[in-house]
Amino acid sequence: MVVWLISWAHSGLFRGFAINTLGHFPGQFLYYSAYEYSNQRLRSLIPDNIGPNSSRALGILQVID
Amino acid sequence: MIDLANILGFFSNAAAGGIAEAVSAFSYLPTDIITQRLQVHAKRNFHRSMHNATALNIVRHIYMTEGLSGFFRGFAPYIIVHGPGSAIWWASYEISKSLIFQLYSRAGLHIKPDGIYSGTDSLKLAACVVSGALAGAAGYVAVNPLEVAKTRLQLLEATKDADRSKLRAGFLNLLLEVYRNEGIRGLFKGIRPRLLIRVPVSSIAFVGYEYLKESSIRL
Repeated sequence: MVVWLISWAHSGLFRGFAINTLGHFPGQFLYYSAYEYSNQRLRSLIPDNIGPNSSRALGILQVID
Repeated sequence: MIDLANILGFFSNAAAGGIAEAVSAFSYLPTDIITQRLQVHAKRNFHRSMHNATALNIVRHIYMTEGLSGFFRGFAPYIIVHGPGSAIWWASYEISKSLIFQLYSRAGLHIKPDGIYSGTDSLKLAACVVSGALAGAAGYVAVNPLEVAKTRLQLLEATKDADRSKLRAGFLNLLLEVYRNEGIRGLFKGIRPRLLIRVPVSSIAFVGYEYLKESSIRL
């Protein structure tokens, strides 16, 4: 019964489900890893002296004080 | 207030989102192509030589007839459609999250620094759910015109008596033709069912992402 159900589902509405899942697991892993890696690399290029809490901004505040 | 560092950070999120889509396409595309052919072969028998359309037979057939490049057909349109969507998705998620955090701090609400997602920090979880939903909506609304053009192009390719000149004119011309003939409404066809599925999926994806990220940092 279970085997019949699986084979029926696989041949009908879920045709290609297994192969699609096979690509989506590594795909998701690649996607989020690539995002994290490239985001970290790109963020490291942003100089740290442009935010309100940056060393440069704090330096200016100390001068004003 | 959002400062210059934040704005550059959002650009970084967007660029990383686009890069991630391009990298993951190497895994998605081949299996997408095999899945599509499996689904098509279930109804029609295009290749009479292929008696039994199993995934393995299709892989063999693609490799024999088109070589390795056959598994990466449509790479450029895939990136054109999904790259900007992914970029907007990530950037709008981060923008929305940082705006919600600012609203929290103005209201005197404090997020726990170790931000655990196991229910103890419901504020952070709520920010994540709302930002995920907004990002899903922004990403899919922005990309819907491209999706419409891509689907029409695929339908044209699958039609036997298709107007070949339309196919040769390509993606951008088809996009303009839809706009000329059907206006803005035509470019946003199918947006409602798409949003109905994608918005909750986007929320769930971001909650899972943040949870796994925090868990792996703590390891």
